[in-house]
Formats: sequence, C-alpha cells, structure tokens
Amino acid sequence: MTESILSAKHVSKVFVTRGDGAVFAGTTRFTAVDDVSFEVPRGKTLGIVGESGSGKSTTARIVAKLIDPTEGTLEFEGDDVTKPSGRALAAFRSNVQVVFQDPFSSLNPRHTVEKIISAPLDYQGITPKQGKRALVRELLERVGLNADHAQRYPGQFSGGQAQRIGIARALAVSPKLVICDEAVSALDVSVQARVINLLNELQAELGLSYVFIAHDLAVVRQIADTVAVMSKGRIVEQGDRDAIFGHPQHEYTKTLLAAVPQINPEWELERVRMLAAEGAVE
Amino acid sequence: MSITSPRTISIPVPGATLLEVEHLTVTFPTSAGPVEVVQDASFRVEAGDTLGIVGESGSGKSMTSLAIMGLLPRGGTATGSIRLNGHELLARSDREMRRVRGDKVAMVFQDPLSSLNPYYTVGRQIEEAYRAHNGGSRKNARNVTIEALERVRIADASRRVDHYPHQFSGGMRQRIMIAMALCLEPDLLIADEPTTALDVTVQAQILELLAELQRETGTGMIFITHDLAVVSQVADDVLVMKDGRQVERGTAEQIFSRPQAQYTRALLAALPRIDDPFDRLKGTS
Repeated sequence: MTESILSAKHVSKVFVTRGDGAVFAGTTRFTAVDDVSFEVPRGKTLGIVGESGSGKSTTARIVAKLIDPTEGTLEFEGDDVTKPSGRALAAFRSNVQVVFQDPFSSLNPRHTVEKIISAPLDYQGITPKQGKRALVRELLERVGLNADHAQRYPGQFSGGQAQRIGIARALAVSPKLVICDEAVSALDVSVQARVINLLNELQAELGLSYVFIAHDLAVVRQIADTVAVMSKGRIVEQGDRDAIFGHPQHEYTKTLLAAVPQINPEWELERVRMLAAEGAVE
Repeated sequence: MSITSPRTISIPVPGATLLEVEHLTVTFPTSAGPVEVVQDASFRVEAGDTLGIVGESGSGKSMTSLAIMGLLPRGGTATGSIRLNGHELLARSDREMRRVRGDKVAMVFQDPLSSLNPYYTVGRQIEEAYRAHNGGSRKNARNVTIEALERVRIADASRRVDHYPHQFSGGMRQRIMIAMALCLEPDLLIADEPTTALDVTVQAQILELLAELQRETGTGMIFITHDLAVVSQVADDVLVMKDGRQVERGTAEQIFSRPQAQYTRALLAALPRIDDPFDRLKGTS
C-alpha cells in the first residue's frame, strides 16, 4: 500500500449567500463540495475530473488552503491541517504550491521573471544557500527555459513558456505537493503535451506529488495514477486510473467517457502502421 | 457585378461546389511592415458537406473565416478569390456583404454569451435577425423563432422565447445561436470553435444537433477548431493550418489515417487520448 501525503476526510464546503433584504429575502445555502474523501499517494498524481459546477475547483482551493472547508478534516503527512495558523500554516504553504490555469493572469506583468519566481521565497523568508539569483537560473533551466531570460517580463513569453514560469515559481520553495488547477487547459495541444511531459519528469526527479484538476479526461489519463470523478459536489467514483478509464462502474463516469470525442480507431491503426512502415516508430 | 437577391437562392444540390476559396491571403499592417496572417489558402466546400479547419493558436483559422464573412478587423485586407455559389465575395461593398451575411452565410462563435445582447430576450434577438433579412410581420418572425428554438430542442420554446440570455445554460445559449443562424436558412454555416467553451457531455449533444440539422437542411459547413478529435468526427474534408499557411488538405480519412505533413503527424502524436490505439497495436503485433 502506498503511503499518502495528503488525505481529505468527509470534506464539505457550503457557500451562504445573503439576500438583499428586499426582493430576495433570507439566505441561500449552496453545497459546492459534499462529503468528499480522498488520498493523494506520495510521489504520485491524483487526478480530479468533472464538468463545470462539479466542485473540482472548490476542492482544489480547499486542498491549497485558499478557503476553509465547512466540515471535514485535511491531513498533510499525518498532521491535521484543517485549520492551521501561524507557523503551521507557513510550513504548509512551503510544502504545498499551486499552478493555475491562466499563466498570464497569475503572473504579474510588471515584475521580471526573476522577481516572480523568487516571490514565494520572499514570503516564506527563505534564503537559498546558492543565492536567489542562482536558484532562479536553476529553476528556469529545470522547466526548460533559457536561464538568461530571468530579467524579462511575462508578456515576452508564449503561453506555454508562461506556464513553465508558473511551474518554476511553484518549485521555488521545494514543495512536496503541487496542485495543478486546469494547469494545461489554456494551452495548444502540442504545448500541452510538452508541459505534461515536464510535470511527469519533475515528478520522477523530485518525487513530487500532484493533485491534477482538469475537465479534460484525456489529459488526466496522461498524468494521473489515481482518479476521482466529481459530479454535483460529490465524488461519484474513484480508483486506479486504468480501472476508471477501462472499467468505469458509475453511470456518470460512463456517460462522461462516452462523450469524449475520439478519432476513428481504424484510422488511428492505419496511421500507426504507416508510420511504423516508414520507420518513424520503433 | 450584380448581387443575386436572397429570393433566388436555389436549394443546395448535394455535392455541388458551394464555396470556392483560391489563393486567399489576409494581410495586416504593423509597425514592422505588413504581416500575412493567412497565406495563399485554397479550399472548397461542397453543399451539404463539412470542411474542418484545424490549427493551433495563431494558425490563421479564425482569420480565414472572418475573411469569408467580410468581417476582418480594421486594417485587414484580403486578396485572392472567395466565390459563393459562383459569385465573388471579395471586393464587395460593406452594404452588399451585410446582405450576404445572414442571407447566405451565417456564423456561430465560441462564446454565445458575448454574441447575445444581455438586455434583450433571446426571442427578440432572433426575430430581429430574421426580419432584417426576410422582412415580414412581427408575428410571423415570432412563429419562425419559436419553431427554430424547437428545432434546436429548447424545451417549452413558446415560453422560453421571452427569457433573457442569462436564464439559459452555456449549452442552451449555443443552441440559441444555432437557432438564430438556422432560421436565416444560410447556404453556408461557419462554426468557429462552437463547442470549445462547453462541457464534454454538452459538446456531444451540440455536435449531434449540428450534424442532424445539416442532414435536414443540406447546409454546407466550415467547422473551425483546435480539437483534432472533434474535427475527425464532424468533417468530411480537413484543412490543417499552421502560422497562416495551409499545411495539408484532404478527406478526413486521408488526414487521420495517412497524414503526409510532419506537422499533422506531430499534432496527432501530441493529442492525449482516453483510449490508446497504440497500446492496442502493441498487443496485436
């Protein structure tokens, strides 16, 4: 059995909206996340998939401690982190980092790449032993960017490069867990493939654990070891990736998988055979 | 050259050439000199068929469709030839192009919310579009509108016609845009990433609806998308674009089973899959 780095037990989030007291009296309660439990195996990736309104992003924000759950508990490496404060919260923040969907809106356009990447260090009051500048160069190289571009601004990079900057920033404090909230959704397919490869490489090198949230099932299949399927705030099914994709049990998972557009398998086979015959594929 | 009146639109003959684009080049002036965002694109769409245009961001796929609609952003110029039912569209006045749009060519965009006016009921918006092109009474336009909403399966259409855009879900709003396009009975429907903003189950419904309506009406379609799997399902012919150039063109079967261009092959290799045909092949060989 794999040890888990993070576990969520019976987590719920209820949003309460107050009426304006005139036309809309009283308050309405909306349960965005409804009694979800899951584990993130150490060094592996938990994929959370769902459609809009499924509660997957709220779940991501709870796990990242950007919002508190209404009910339930969160444990990180065996410690209760449901409502940490002070030193415990600071420690959690250096262990858990987030990569967001839109690379440009999550990077300050007026800051240099160096400043952006080293910001988490400044918040944490960490001084890297090799020096900040050297660490930024290392991180840029690690995510496949030119280390000499540290003094450039986000606007000078493409979408895929900007997302690499977001990943480099997340890695600056040497986190153990990275939460990727639709981290590749805004990218072109070829760029997306390269960023997924990068995430997989970083995981192998650094032993990172990921929570990978996405609406795109095919993308989740590329990266996740275990998968949780969410619908209307609940996890309807979770398990090993191959089990979820190969033998879905829940009706909703089946519907979701059936709706994913696919290329005619006969065309795909013909193409693979053609490429093999040309020697393009071993 | 005279423009044909909308009344003379003939019923599309399946297989007849509806749209013929030759050597289309779209140029924008920049401080660094003119930039060709579409370079020498040539393709055709047969009546009743769907041409899929695929490409990544910056490939020129949307500019190609805007050139056909005569809706290029300020400063953009198109050269070459765009013939619809044999009539040249380039070099027409804005006024003439307004008649062509809607009468003959309609468009469905990615984000239905930004294409609908939030202050008007959906019914009023469809009625206005219909009357602007076909005239007739308000009452007739309203009947046409309700019928169009029923065709795109908006339940309880006679009541929903008086609702505002925000009262509909994303998938329903896209159905409304399709209803608006279809009640104009265009010869050619251009759908630019019509399902990109939608959930996958809703996307499946919209794709099915488009295919069904196309079978019924014989409308030719240009389907623009970045999603290769989607295009493989909807298109008869496929045009692959990159950096403003057409990389490859062929039937869907040719493009997906025997792609010739390196770029097409790379794109297909990068596509994530929920079911891996390569695994299956390894099992058989």
